[in-house]
Amino acid sequence: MGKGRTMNWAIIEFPGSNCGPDCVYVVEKVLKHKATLLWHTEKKIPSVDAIILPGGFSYGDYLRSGAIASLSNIMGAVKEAASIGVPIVGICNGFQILCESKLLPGALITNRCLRFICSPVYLRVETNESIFTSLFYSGEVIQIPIAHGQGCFYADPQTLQKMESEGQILLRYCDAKGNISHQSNPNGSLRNIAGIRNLKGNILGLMPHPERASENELGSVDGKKIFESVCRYIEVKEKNYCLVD
Amino acid sequence: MTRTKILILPKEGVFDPQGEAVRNALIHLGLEETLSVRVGKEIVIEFKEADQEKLKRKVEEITKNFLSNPIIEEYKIEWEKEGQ
Repeated sequence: MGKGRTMNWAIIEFPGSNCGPDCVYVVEKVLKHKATLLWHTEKKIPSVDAIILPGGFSYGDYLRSGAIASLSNIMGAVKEAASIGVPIVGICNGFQILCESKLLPGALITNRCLRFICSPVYLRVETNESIFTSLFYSGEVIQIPIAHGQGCFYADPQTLQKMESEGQILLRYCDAKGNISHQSNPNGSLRNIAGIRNLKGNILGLMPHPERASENELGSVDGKKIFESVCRYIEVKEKNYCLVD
Repeated sequence: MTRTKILILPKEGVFDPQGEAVRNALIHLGLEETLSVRVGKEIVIEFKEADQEKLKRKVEEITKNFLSNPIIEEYKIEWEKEGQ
């Protein structure tokens, strides 16, 4: 992939976030872009190309994972950025925060097996027609690790149906051949859901950690392609604006 | 002083792995009659004297929108006055 201009990524941290530095590392050292760490007390987000809500245990997962973080000052600014189309990636606890903030549908509950699972898993990319998956092919099987105790995706049947028909489900847990089954579902998520997007398409929430699969040394670079897909989207959007101008 | 107890339980139909684990333990302890167990949380809040109607409305609203998540949980609010 060609290297366009340097992009600005905001990485938002809450008390208890612990994957922020990993995301900064990937943005700066792997993608060679600029990363700005923002603390949850900030009321504004400077003009950025994309936002990451990293994983961790915001507020110790008290009450419900992500619930207290959803009330943070900075979430007002995240909602504002979301409304103007800024791409937002919520990873693990970031996904839980996005659901609790109602920026994404559904909720994440305790893993069916009751265990905290830290393991590489296979995922099937359901569609490449999204800001976050355009560099994959639809149906591609990728490998990214998970690390969570509350990653079981739940939504009521009507919401699930709507999500299916609107193409909001981007990633599902599968086996090495791409089969979706009970055995390939680590946490009991309904319909093996591992990652979803909002209706507008600019917000991704996923339980797997793409920042932990962004270098060959880590065993997979599949996660990196999610961030690179976002970069490509921004580049294409800017190019189209120039053509219109 | 006014005290409220908010009971929050997983909604009917939402799988409750904690409840299921406790159910298995109860059966193991000889309570074979156990059909189901649901594990939730109880939040107790104490308030200074205030406009009761306003307080109740506010607690109801906050419980619905923050203390519980209506997608996965249901709640019950119980009120008691000091001395009760």
